[in-house]
Amino acid sequence: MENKEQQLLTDSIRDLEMNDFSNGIVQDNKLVFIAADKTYRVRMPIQSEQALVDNKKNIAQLDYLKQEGCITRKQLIQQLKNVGVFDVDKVEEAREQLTKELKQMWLILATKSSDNKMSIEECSAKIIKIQNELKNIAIEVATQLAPSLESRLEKFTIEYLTLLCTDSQLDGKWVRVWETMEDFQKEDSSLTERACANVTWLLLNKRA
Amino acid sequence: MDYIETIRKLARSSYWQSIFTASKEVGSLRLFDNDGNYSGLQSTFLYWLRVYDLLYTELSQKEWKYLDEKVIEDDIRCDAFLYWRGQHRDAELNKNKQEQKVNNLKFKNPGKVSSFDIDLQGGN
Repeated sequence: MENKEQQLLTDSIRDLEMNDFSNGIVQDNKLVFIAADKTYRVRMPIQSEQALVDNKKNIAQLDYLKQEGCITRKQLIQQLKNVGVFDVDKVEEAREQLTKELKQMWLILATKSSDNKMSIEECSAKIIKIQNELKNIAIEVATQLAPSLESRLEKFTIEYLTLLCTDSQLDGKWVRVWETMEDFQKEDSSLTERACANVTWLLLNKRA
Repeated sequence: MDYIETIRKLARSSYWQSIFTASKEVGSLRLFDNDGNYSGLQSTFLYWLRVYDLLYTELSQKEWKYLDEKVIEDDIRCDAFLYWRGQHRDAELNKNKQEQKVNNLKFKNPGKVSSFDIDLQGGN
């Protein structure tokens, strides 16, 4: 066996010994999690389920539009600005400025030699700080805009997908956890929120 | 839990890099249990598999002064390198375009008319 192949094999065995590869998160299109000593999984929706969710979402949209206080994202942004509660434009400017700073820091860090440990740590700390600020901005915007029609529909879609695609393990078999939206809404929120979070992860970058 | 961190760690592991290399050579080798309807996590994992495959290739070819194994293993440094490399390549591309324009202008000089004066690329 050639040296390179030997090295590759040695590295692979070392990795297998040292790391939990958590292959489960990519091995198939499902995510398994444990809550209150029970094993659950969320899975990708099949086409018919996705079509059902789209249909339910359209019905929910018509329903929301009839409700008092229904407000679109655009209208809410203007209203929050008018009453001086939250200025999305200013926050967006701050986000752009932080993004510029992040790119500048990336350029500085990229050209540091690995021997320059102190300098690398300093740059990395600054990058983490900027990234955290960007995350906080994203959370703040999402929180402020949560009452908007678009955000409510997004939440509805995730919840409906979670309702359809969450199974629990019973006697070695996977069975659906909730049959109806009412069952889902009656459930302990710690489980539904966890399942929704996992569905969101599973769909990462997949939804328009 | 940040799955992206886990996904990147998996994607750059020698175990998955070996499987990815083999799958490119043997077309029928399956990476996942499912054949289609990939989850977002799986698509993201495939993206990072390709990125790290490319980075390890460039590392072995010593293509970049600032790329070493420590850069690949550190997500923050790796992000920084990928951004820097993108900027560097864009700059190279712009430089080539500028040179192309200058060359086209030279061909268009009056008094030296020949069949080479035709700007086939339609550049300004």
